Amino acid sequence: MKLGLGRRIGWLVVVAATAVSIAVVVAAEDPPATLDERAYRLKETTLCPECDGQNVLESNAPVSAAIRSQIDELVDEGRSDQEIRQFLTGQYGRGVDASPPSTGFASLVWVLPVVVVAVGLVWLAWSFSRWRAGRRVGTTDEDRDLVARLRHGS
Amino acid sequence: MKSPVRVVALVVAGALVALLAVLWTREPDTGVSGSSPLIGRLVPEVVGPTLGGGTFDIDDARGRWVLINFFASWCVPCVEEHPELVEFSRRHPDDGLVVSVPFGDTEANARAFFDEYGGDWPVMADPEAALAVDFAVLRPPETFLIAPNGIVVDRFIGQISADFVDDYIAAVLTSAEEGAG
Repeated sequence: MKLGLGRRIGWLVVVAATAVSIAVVVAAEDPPATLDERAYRLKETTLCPECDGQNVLESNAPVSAAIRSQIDELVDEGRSDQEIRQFLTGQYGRGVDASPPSTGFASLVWVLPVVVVAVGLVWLAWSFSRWRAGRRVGTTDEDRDLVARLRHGS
Repeated sequence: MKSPVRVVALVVAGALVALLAVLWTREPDTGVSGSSPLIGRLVPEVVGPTLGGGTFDIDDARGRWVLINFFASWCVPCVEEHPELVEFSRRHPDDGLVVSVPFGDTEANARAFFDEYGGDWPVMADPEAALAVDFAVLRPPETFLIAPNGIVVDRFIGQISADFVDDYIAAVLTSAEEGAG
């Protein structure tokens, strides 16, 4: 049995609202962080060039202290995160940048969660609609014949 | 017959003695050339106050071979290297200059280091580590050789000596002459 027009419109509204919400969340920029927050985030995602896998926030190496100090300076000077990352990778190599790039294969880190959530919501909507439709099985001519035979005792 | 435990102990002791002998008699590490995006380019700006109370601008050192040496008072190779820098400075009063920059150290310790080991060249104050990051220094001692025209010639990682630097400069000059000829 097919869904009624009102229910279909209801589902469409739900799906559209969900899609718009996801799009808004994805597209909206983070609220402007304070300078300290930006510096902290940059230090968290900049690896110590002398250590194994430690970021400059965790590392006690002198080079990490120097990079921390410079990140503070550059943030205070008004440089953007991208400018600071470019400067540091220019000085110490790409290996110090621990933030996933927004282009290329590694950009899937950003894209995949959104795609998974969107596909999941669509699948849920589709499953619910089938489930509801399945519960409303209509009577067929055969059913009516059977009932009639039983009532008349033939 | 000796027990196996005693034989193993003797072998281990022998290996330890051999290792100690190698460490004791080997020559100290000398600087090795390291890669740097600065090599072949104009030296970054090195300008600002010195620990001696004056100011220094590397542009004023044009026409001289400059060694920019990043050091720390806690760094043993830096202590061992320092007399060599003093010697280089003594050999080149007019055509050479050493400039020191504390790295991972306090200004007070750097002053005490120079008070103890000598050296009358500029020691830059680098409290925000701007110079250290501009030169992408990883660990002290590291030294950058700047040609008289202001171009970064090489980066030496580890301890250097006056003879090593003189030989290096001589080789650069010979190579330049051959290239010109």
